[in-house]
Amino acid sequence: MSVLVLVVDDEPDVEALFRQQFRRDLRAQRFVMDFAASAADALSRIADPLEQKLILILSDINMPGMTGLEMLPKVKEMRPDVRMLSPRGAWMCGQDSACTEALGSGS
Amino acid sequence: MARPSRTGGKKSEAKARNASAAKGRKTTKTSLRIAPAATRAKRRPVSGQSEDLKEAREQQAATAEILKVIASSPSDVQPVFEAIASSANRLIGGFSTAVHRVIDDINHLVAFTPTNPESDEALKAAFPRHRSERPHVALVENGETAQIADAETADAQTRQLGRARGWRSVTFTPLMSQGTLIGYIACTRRETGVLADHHVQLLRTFADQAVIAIENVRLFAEVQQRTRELSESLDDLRTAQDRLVQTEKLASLGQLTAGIAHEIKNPLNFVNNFSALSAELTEELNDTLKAAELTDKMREDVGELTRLLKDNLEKVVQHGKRADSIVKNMLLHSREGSGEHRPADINSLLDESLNLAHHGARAKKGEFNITLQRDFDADGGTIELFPQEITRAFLNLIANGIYAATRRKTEEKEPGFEPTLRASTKNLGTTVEIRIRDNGTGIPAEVQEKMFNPFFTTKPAGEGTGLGLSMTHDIIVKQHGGRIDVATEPGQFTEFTIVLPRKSNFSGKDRGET
Repeated sequence: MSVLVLVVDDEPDVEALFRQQFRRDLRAQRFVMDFAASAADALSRIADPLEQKLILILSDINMPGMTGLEMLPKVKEMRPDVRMLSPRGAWMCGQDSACTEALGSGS
Repeated sequence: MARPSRTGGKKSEAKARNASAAKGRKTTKTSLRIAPAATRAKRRPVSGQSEDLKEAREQQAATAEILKVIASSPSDVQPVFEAIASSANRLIGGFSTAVHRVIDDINHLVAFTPTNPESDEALKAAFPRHRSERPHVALVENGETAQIADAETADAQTRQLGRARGWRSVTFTPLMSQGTLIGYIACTRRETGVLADHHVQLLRTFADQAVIAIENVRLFAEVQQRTRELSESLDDLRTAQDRLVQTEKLASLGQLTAGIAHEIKNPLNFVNNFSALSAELTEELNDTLKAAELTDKMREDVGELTRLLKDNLEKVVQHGKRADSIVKNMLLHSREGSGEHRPADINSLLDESLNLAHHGARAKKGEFNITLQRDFDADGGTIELFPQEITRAFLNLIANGIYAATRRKTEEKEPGFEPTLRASTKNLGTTVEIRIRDNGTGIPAEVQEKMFNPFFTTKPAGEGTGLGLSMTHDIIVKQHGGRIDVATEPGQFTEFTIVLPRKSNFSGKDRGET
């Protein structure tokens, strides 16, 4: 069973960017990437049993509807073993202590 | 046109003369009428009476004249004193009349009627002197007129003075203001004896006028002083208002900046990431094509094209990064009160900033020389501040100073010029002054007006974001309630003076939120 990385971002071009960035790993089938356009979308997806083993969620923070930070405790509840990171929001974390704290407890 | 007096006979001319004479002495009309009929013996008292009246008129004219002087000279009492001295002397038939002021127990001679130059000089030289050396001051302290009928029989000082100046009697008339002696009029005469009552009264009138004039001038000066103070505080208020407006402008610009930066950040990230990726992909394409069967010409073309593509994409990355650093600065600029708020040692903070800026400049430019001078006040002490932010502000100023000083070295090529940057601190009690001075290119006047505006820069494209000084201004003024001023001479030096309060008047909690 291969492992799954779920990327949550409201920007559709993120998918192309990630697929290209990790093209070698994906070609080598080291993991599978899946994309959700919103936090709600991501939560409904991980609520169902998955084909692959979900090991990591990469999520944007500022998204319409539910933010990445609001999603974090819900993910922890449903999948306590899954780690969550916010690569695109990282630049903001330096200035937002709440963000740093949240990520610190989440990852 | 009638000209009767010319054509008329002797009789009518005489008549006209009489009439005009009578007219000229309107007040003495009655006495004139009875005069021709009166005997010699009877004429004397009448003539004496007319003299009195004449004198009364002259006195009236003189006091009126002094009132005029008072009115025309609201800011200077000197002309009044002089008019009083000369009028009093003339009307009383005195030898010499002097006006004295007594201010803080010191007797000042302020005006006198001249006699002979030698004696005048001696009189002038005798003043100012302490009242204890002038027993005459005490004579009039009770507000009453004092007279010395004969100097020869008076005390030694009076006798001496009288002989030296050439007078025998003297009258002192006090100038009283609210029960206090503020001066006196000294009226001397060659003859002995006391003054007639009406002369004493006249001198008292003059004294009253002098007091009024002195009060007038005092009030005038007071009003002027008050006006000056008011206009100064008005200027201060205007300056404060200007600063407030400027600060508000900067604040709203800061918010706008943050908004724009946030919006630009995401698309810019895509541009940077996709172009970096594409550069890699071009490389991969090249590798893939190596295995393909191509003619040399085609291979050459492909090589050329992929190289161009890769170069272009690298340019996109390079300029994207430049835009990224601007956006990052914009976000830093708009963000306030982050980091901790705590007491920190100002000297070590400044020292640290100097070192950081020096290393930074070396890393950027490689080999360069600048003399860094530290002139720290041992009593610099601690200040409550956001150390990170203040360091950022210092860094900006120091980096600018280094830039300006080294630029003067490379551009002006003055022999023997040594780029120097001096940082000093000074304990001012509840505040601390920090000065950062460089001997660089200076700041032209037109730049000074705009240098604290966001995005204003004089550096070549790509070297400055135009946010350094505006950020510094915000940190010092808005965040820490301090002041920042600049003194500069183009081609000579620039000196920034920062004054920071030791205690910030806000709680750290308020500013901790973004």
